[in-house]
Amino acid sequence: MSAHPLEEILHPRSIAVVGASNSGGRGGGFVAPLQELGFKGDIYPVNPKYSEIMGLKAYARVRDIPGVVDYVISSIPAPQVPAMIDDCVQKGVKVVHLFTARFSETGRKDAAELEQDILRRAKSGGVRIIGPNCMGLYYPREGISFNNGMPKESGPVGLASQSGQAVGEIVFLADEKGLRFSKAISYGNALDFNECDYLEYFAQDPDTEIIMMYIEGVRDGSRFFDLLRSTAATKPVIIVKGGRGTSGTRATASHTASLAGSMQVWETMVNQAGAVSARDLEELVDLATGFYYLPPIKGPRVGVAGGSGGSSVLAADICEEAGLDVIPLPVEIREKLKANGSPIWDWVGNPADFSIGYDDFNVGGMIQMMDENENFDFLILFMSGPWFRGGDMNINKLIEEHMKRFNVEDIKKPLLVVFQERGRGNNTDPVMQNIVNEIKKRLMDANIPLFSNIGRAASTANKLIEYYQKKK
Amino acid sequence: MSAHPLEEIIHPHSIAVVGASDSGRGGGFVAPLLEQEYKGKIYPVNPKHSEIMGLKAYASVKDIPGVVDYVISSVPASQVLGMLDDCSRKGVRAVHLFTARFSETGRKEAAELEQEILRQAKKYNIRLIGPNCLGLYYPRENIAFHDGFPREPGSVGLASQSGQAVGEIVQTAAARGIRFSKGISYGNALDFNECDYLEYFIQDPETSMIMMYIEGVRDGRRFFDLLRRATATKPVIIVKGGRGESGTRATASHTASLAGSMQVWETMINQAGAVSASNLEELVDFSTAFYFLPPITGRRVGVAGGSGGSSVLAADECEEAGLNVVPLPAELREELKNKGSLIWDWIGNPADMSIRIDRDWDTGDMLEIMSRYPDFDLLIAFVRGHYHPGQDQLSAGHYLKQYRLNDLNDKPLLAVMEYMSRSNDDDDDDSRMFRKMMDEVRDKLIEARVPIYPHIKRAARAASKLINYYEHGRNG
Repeated sequence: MSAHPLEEILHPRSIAVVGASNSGGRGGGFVAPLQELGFKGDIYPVNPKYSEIMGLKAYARVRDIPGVVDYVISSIPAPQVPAMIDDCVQKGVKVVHLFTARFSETGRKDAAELEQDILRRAKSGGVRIIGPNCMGLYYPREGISFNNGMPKESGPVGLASQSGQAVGEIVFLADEKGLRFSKAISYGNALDFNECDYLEYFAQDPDTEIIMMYIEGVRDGSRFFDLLRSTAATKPVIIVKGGRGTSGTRATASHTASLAGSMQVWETMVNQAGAVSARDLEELVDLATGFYYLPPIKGPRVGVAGGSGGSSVLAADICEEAGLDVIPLPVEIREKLKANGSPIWDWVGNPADFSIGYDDFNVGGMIQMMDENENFDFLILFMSGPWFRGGDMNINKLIEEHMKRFNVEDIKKPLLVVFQERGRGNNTDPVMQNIVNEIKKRLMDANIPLFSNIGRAASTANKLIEYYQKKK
Repeated sequence: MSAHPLEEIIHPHSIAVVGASDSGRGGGFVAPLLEQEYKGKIYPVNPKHSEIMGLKAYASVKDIPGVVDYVISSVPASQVLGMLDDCSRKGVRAVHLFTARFSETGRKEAAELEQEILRQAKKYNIRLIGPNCLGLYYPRENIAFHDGFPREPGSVGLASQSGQAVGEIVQTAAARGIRFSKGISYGNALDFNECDYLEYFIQDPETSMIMMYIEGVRDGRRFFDLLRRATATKPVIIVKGGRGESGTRATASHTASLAGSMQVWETMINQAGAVSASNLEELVDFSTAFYFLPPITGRRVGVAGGSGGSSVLAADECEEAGLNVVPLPAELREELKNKGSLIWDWIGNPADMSIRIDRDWDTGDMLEIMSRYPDFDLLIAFVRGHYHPGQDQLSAGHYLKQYRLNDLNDKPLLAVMEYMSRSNDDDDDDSRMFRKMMDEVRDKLIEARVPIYPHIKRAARAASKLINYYEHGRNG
């Protein structure tokens, strides 16, 4: 079996950035992230106006480059692209990533014709195209990136997105959750490679275990849904659809010249294929976080602990409304609490409201009991940082005691943590922030996904349960 | 007309904290009063101490030399009856019972004790707030039950069966620029109940909108009559706790409330013209719109400042929230064309700012044009706070110039500041400084009375609720 066409072009020996410059704009911008991430191949800036760009020798044209050029990033204006493609054909370039935009998405006839002309030239010359109108490739293992500040570490998530802005935002949101990427590709107008190719690639890619997509329009519907079905059987595929309503559909046309299509058909197809729908980028990341950290959740019976007062009441409502089953506290747990001399054995429930126990309530013990009780399929715990009152408190000891109090690092059932930040608003106290970051890291190291509120945790859990039930 | 019974008791000349100590909640009630610089006398009461938080402590309420108007009780439940006797002798008018473990425990003797306390208080002519609650936050009188509550008063009245909810609401609302006239946590509603608090806020000149968190209604008919009356002059936004089976169980063990049928509740709320929110985040989101925006009676929204996919999803979110993301009017395009814009035929609504060629032409310029067209009833702007390493440090004032807030012809504007939800940026000095600048940007937007949301979805839903409310008012 020969390698997937994308596999060949994602491992370039060298990258030329055509239209590069020193002036901070996007042209220079494509050189800088390659340097930052430590791309090991040669980087060739191309611009007839410069002899040197970002410390590298610059070339007037692609064909002036002395060595092999596998991969070209284009940020020159649209009218100059056909000649550049001819150059690339001559040079034996395998792929051109067209950051260049203003093609069919402008709604202008001549621009759409130019786009088609480019496709014809590339096809006849054996050059593949990523884009146009996109940010291209983020491939941390190869040291390839299109943005400064993207993580250098790799992970098991593959992302294909019609929006480059979305890739930036998703990678950023995911990083906070400890989630890292195998490859992320922004593919814009999908002129040559389209959603099907990227999905097919991730399906067979051994580095990718979870697939995220942001799609505005599907170029080849029947192939896409066939692929989606076969892929979702082995890897979770989570999709955000942009262009769901009338105005969104107009917006996809002017963004990536996509035909958004009927939302009803879309939802049915995605469900039937066993993929998971998310409605925004936050939910996309939430779901991936759940898939990444948690073993399969077998049923909807949830034990909730650690809320207080009203938040505990609302937690019950929100879990139930998300489709979960907040069962009454099992008798065996009450019996055990009673035997341990708990003064609230008859009063505490599920959700377990920790404010009624005052200072003597054993949070960790309650979670332990829920973990051992077979009536619960999984658990949700509210946590926040410890009270840090400044002064000479020993920070490591504070963190240690806090983790011990909750005692969650060895919980066996799937556990989601709702992590509440104290003191919202102007919370820029760096010491408190460090404490919270350290605790979050400890939790993620123990494979515990974090959510910013109960609604997001509950809805994530419910979609995971649905996914695994369908798969069965 | 005599004053509302609550009006009389929430302006105490002195407050006694019974069960105060230097640690834990008892001391906790003294500290916020000190922090807020409460102007009356504070009397800590605890036979085990001679001094608490720097104040002389008394063995019992009756030992206090001066007048005592208001008592906060954090003694155990079993000691409350004795304390009430003392309060009666001292002429106390109101007792806030932080003390809990009454009917909410589900235990018969605890419920009986609660009733006995009510009978005793009635006999003594003492009014009760609570039990099982955190009581009163009244910034104008410098009264609070939490450290760190804003000292500036505002115009929102809040009544909540959960004290935790008051804490969360006040703090999240503070970050959005909302301030309170009074916030009251009232727990089990043994004496004063939801009706009294609502009635109070209706007639309270310091309150122009009302937030409530309710688990159960003690007097349904009176409540809905009052609610109808309230919404005629002041928006009322309500979160109901205990909507499903497990939530209903939870309200029983939290405040001994009977949650009741959710269907009946929703119908009543809608008929009364109040606004329903499903959680505290929504409560604050909706309130932010009501707090800052004038009445809006149309749904046609202009969106600007997004880029790429976020612009597409913004359209979807607005539409799904019930707003109408109208196409750009032809005359507006003409105007862009005449001004020499190179994307006059391409740009749409939402206006995707990533496609522009002219870097000087910014989000504010698009907002300014949109604000002049009667085709738009309201505007939503993305105020993007993305940090790129190496970015030049800007001042908040300079940053905000691009949004041209002073040129928007009084068109209602909501801002989306996504960075608000991200406290975890890299912890280097640059990003911390950038965050600090964005905090200033936020403060300046609040000063300009712009409601801020961390996500377009939440802005769109809040706007839609606001429009519903004023449509209801107009038709009903």
